[in-house]
Amino acid sequence: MSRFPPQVTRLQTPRGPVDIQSFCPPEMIGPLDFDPSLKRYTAYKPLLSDKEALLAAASNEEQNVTLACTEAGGIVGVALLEYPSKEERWTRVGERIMMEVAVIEVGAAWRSAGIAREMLRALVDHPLKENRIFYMVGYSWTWDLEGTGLTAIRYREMLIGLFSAFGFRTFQTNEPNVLLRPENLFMARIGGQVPEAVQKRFKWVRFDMDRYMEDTGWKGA
Amino acid sequence: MTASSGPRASIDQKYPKEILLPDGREVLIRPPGKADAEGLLGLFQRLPLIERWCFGENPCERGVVEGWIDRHLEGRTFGILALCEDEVVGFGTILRPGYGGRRHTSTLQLAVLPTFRKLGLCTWMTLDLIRRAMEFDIETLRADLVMGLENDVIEALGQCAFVERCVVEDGFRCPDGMCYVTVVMTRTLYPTWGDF
Repeated sequence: MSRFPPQVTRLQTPRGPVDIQSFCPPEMIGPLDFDPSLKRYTAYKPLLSDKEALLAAASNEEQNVTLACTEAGGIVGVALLEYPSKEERWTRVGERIMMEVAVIEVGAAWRSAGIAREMLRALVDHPLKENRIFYMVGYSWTWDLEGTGLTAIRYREMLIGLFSAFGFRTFQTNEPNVLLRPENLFMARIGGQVPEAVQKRFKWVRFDMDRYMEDTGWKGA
Repeated sequence: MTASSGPRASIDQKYPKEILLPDGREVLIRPPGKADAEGLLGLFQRLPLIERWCFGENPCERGVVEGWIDRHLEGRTFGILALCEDEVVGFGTILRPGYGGRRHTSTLQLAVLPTFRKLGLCTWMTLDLIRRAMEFDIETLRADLVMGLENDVIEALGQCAFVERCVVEDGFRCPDGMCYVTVVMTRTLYPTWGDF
């Protein structure tokens, strides 16, 4: 489980108070239930809507499971900062350097109340944030365009606005899934203590050039 | 609207964009400013004459290039430069009709130095212009290209899901009188995912 202590912030919303809690330990998640607005229905499939996955994520040291909960114990928002799995290219940047904002989701009935922003704030307020590169990938096929009424490009702009407020910037990458659609998005926040050599490697990995650089011994521009 | 306020400012904040080419060279993509006329002229002066002939105006005339930059700054077009070590190596633009029945469409034009072709740069620039076009609520992007002279651009657009709509026999005539086929390619910019 996480070695960092949970932090709680109370947010007043038109539908009542919501507690934003970061570094949720498994024992805290156990008694909670997903609010119906975060459950799957025909036109909307939340990325993370079963407690098993949440508990597994919360069991990992250094990862951050942040939840938005009602006073009644209903989960209305989920956010997850985790290390990428071994097969993902981002692990090539270095051991435990990259952390992905893998999920940030608010139930349809609870949107437009600032919950996502507060969850993201709690998520990236991580003790190791200056030593890590946090990143997010936005695939438009996972976005609730119908629920929000936004076009894909407007949804993209909304995400850029949300993440930019916490130091994320858009970066180009030739990661094939990102390139599948022009509105797909890759953003990252490079911590202030991340060494220059790691930043350079991050650039090479974004373009899948790290192996070429290693093979040729070329140091790049 | 000035270049430093309003929607243009929010677009400019998205730049510069860093691209790493397969040969290890780094390219920055950003919109042009007034000070870029000289660099842009340098790009066109290094393009083969026959490729310069593909433009509707002589891109080696300072007034022409300055006019393009002005139209970008006025928001009538949107342009991007590709720079490698401060040298302009590519230029791309989309036109933005402000009136009439073609406002939902835009025409795309690209020019890249021969030494920077076959490296994906045209594709990166096209992808960037597609995103901007979507932000401008453009529904269809169009490009008119000369087969045999602009094959790199035709290939790049094909990789970016442009499709060939029609060809025009003898649509392009060289200074020596030789004619080429031109091809009209378009890409539909879907605002959402379909229900299929």
